[in-house]
Amino acid sequence: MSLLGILQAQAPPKQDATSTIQTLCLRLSTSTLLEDRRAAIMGLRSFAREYKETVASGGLRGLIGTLSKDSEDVDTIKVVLETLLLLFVKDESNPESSEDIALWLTDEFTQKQENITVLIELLQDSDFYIRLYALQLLVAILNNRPSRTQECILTAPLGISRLVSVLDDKRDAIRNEGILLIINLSNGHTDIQKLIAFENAFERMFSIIELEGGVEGGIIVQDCLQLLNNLLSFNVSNQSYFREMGCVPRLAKLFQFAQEPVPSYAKEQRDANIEYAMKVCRLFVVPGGLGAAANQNAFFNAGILHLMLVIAFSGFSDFPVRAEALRTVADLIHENSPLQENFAQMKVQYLDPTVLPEVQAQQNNPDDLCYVIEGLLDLALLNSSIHAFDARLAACQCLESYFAGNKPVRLHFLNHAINLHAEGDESANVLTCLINLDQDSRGDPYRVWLASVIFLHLIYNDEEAKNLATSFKEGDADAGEEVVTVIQSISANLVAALEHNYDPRIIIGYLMLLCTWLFEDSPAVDDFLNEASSVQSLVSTVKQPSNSNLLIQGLCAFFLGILYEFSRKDSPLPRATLHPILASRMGRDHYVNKVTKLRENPQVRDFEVFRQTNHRKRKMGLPEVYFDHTFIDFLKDNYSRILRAIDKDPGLETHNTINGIPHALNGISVELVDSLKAQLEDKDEELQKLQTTCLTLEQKITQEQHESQRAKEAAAVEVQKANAATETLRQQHDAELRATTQKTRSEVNELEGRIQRIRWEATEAVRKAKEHGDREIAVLRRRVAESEAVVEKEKMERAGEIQRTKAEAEKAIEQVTLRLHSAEKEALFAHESLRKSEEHARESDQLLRASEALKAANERITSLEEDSRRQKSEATTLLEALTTAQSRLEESTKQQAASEVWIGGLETALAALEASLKKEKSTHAHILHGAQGSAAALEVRVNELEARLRDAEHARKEADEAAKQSSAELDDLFIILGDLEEKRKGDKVFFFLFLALCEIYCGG
Amino acid sequence: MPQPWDYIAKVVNIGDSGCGKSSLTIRLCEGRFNPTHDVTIGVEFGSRIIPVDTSPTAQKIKLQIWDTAGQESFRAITKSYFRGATGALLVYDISRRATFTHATGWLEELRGAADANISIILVGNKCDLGDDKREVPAEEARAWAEGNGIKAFVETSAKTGEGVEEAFVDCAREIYRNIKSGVYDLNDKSHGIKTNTAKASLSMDEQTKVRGGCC
Repeated sequence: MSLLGILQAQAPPKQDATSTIQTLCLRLSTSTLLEDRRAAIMGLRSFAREYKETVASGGLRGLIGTLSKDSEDVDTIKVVLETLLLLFVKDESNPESSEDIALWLTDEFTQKQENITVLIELLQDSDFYIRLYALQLLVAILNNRPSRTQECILTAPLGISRLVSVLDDKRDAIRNEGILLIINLSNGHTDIQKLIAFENAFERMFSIIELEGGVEGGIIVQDCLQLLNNLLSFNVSNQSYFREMGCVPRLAKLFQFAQEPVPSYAKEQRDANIEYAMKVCRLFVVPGGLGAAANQNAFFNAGILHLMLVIAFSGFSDFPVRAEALRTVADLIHENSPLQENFAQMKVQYLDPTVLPEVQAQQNNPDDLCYVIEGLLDLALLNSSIHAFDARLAACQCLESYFAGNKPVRLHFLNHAINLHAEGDESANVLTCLINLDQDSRGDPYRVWLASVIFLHLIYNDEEAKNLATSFKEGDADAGEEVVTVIQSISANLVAALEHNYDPRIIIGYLMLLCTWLFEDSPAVDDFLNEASSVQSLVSTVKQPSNSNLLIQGLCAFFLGILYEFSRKDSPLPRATLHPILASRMGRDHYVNKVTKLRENPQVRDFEVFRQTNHRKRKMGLPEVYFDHTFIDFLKDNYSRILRAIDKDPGLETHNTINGIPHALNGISVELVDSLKAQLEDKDEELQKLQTTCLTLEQKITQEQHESQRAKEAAAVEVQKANAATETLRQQHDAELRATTQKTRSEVNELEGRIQRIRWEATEAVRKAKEHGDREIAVLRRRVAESEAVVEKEKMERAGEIQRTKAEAEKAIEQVTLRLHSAEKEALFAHESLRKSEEHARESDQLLRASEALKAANERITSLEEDSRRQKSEATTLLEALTTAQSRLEESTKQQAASEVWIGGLETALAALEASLKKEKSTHAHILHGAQGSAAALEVRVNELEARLRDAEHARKEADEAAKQSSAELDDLFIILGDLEEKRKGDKVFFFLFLALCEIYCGG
Repeated sequence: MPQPWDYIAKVVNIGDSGCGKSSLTIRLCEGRFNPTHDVTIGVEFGSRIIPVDTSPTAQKIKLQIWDTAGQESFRAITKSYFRGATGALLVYDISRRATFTHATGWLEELRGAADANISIILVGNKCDLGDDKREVPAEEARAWAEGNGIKAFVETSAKTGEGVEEAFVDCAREIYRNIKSGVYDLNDKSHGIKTNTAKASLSMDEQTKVRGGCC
């Protein structure tokens, strides 16, 4: 009030609230003095409750601005935060207040990152109110714009870290506010959840829980557990971090509380805490989850499974806690076969299901133990308290998890149930509950319902279990009792329930079981159809005009659909008979209508949604639980198929399972099956016949085998003999072969010798011929040299003579000229008288002398002619000698040719030999393999021979060449002779020239 | 302290960025014009009490004006303020045709989120600009408004103040007419209409009196 007083003093008296607020806002934004601003803020605070809208519209920016501007001044900040919080508070009675203001404030913070950062930084302040108010503001902001605020806090430097560190504050109010903030912050944001977890949040939560006294602590424990729940929900990374950090034992520790009465004022919170803690456990083992198996094992090792069972079967636990504990147990063992087996061995405290919980608490005796399965069955089947329903359902869920994915367990359980039932055991038994529909069961409709559901899980999709259940029969035929199967008992109960209008849960329970059982199981369908009146009862239920119970009518129709779908031609009530009952008497459209209505019923359609919310709502009467989730899945999966089943021709059957062997799903014509069956029988007969013939044949075969054995032995002896014979033969052949090879070898040697001799002869002949030729050639050469020397000598001689004669002639010519000169001189002296005598004398002289010279020359010429004639004759003799040499050469070549012919003859002989060898080879080859080797050797020999032959030919060629050479030499000789003759001719020319000269001279 | 109003009505300003929504609000609430106004972040808020007629005893409506950001990035935020709005100023810029064509989109969004009986006024802002800058003729806008079930159209200038008062008064009167004709269930808090409880009884009395007079 004093504050208002100050304000009123400050403001002009007539101002109304709006203008006062505007003034204050203006002052807040413009004042330079801290005191003025603080006064303005305090003024605004006092208006904030009443005039939210006006204060907010004018002052929000200024207020937020102050948070960073005046952060040093704790008092101012405190007032600012208080004012802001007041603006957030929604006041229903104040018309100016609206949700939009809070939203607007939120946006003012979240749209400007720095404003959030300022708030987070204020958390550093140790002042109690500043911290508290800042946290409360953050909570308010977070509530208004969750995702945007999450992003802002994530972006703020050290945002998450600072928020989580608030949890260490020793002041409970701040710590608790911090927990609430982090709960909100972590909601649905995986990254933030991880960051919070890495700030050691698990450790901090457990510390706070322990500080607060575990599950017996207050609401703050629940908050902590809620936070754990938020951090771990569908966050596999955080879950494994939790496990790695060793937090599982700490979680287990929460369940280690004494089983003793709890004062009623504390019980509610304690139970809430326990249920929250169990919810945290269940987060880790969500069926089908990624880390479920690892978590199941870790939780089992930490003893949580055992602790859960202790709580579930304690006389001090209320049903909701027991139910949650059992649900946790169910999740802990789901589809984990080692744990399922461990679980079955566990023992729990025996609780008498027929007494009230209060009495149970008094009778609490932890030493009175029974197996857990018995305890679960007692609870599920025998505890008829309405309050126990959740726990009974949870016990059923436990059993379902116990069976899940474990065929041996299912078969064992079923066998056990059958045996106990057959023995008439008194303990809780699924089968007994199904078969005995007595007064108690009618009073507690969920007994049959739960028994049906448990049985459904036992046989669902398990051929072996189905067959086992189908094959069980009751009643001693010998004692005159009627023998009935389980299906028959159940159908009888169902018919009774339908006729007497028992509780719908009983009927629905039976129908759920029968639908799943008879589906794809034609033998079971046949079993049911044995009692045609059951079908009548079902049809009349569907035909009831009232819509009083659509669920039952729909289920009956659905079941009839299944019966028809899997009935057969040979069923007790054949398809052909069943079809008109359904299609005409009940009516096809009626059927479709009822099945569709069932599918559209909210109990079926929205089952998954109901399931989550259904359990806690009801207070009065029986719970509205009619269906099991497995059955609903089954119904929804097969709905359209069964709906259409009625339109299927009765002639077409659906063969699904015969003795557990799955067949094609599509309809198969019955005639086709019959014809195939007939064929099969024929074939069977034939096969039988064939088998008998086969047998006789086999006997024969054994006889023959004996005979053949004997024959074989005899044959072996013969073979030995034959072997010996062949051995001797071989030896013989070897000897023969050796002889022949030797023979051939000697022949070859002989041939070689001959070839050598011939070659030697040939070479000898060639050598002789050559020598002879050489000798003759040498002789000829000598002669030629001699004749050349003679010719040379003659030449020389003749040249000397010619020169001499020339010199003589010249001398004579000189003498003549001299005489001429003297005669001329004499003539000169003796004038003309003497000239005639002298000329006569000179002429006579000259003629005389010339005639004398001519005579001498003629003589010389004749002698020369004689010489040349002699030389000619010598040349002719040489020519003759040459011709003889040539003829001799011809002779030698002839001889060579003859030797070639000889060699050719040899070759033919060799070829003949080869041929004979080949023949021998061919004759011997097939007899013995050994001979081939030697034959090959022979061939090699022959090759050698051929090589030698080639050598001989080569030698012959050499001889040829020598002959050629000698002929070439002969040619040379001929050329020389030609030269000689030419020279001689030249000499003759020279002589004639000389003669001509002489004649010319003489003429002159 | 008695409140100086009879009803509170929530009004939202919507339209493309830069049409002058904030300037209109400031002009109405504070009577000034700032030629360099920053772009709106999220939402601004202001209020003004408007008498529904000129008589001195006239009923007064307090308009809570939520001035939203026109930028696309704030659409998610601004949309949450549409809820419960009883009136809206759909603002466009007469010098930019695009802002007028986008009005269709704004109208759809508004009708999707706000009350079915919302009173919408089409406002063509910046009419102080010369005809040479004008891209949207007034006739065209008026025809569009009629075609889209918008009751009133007005051209304004936040700069000169021309038509601004008129726009909001139109809106207030429209809302008042709706209140009087019983369109709104005044007990339903989801409407943006709130009655001054101190005065409501009086006004109800007046109403009955008037009715009584009629009969």
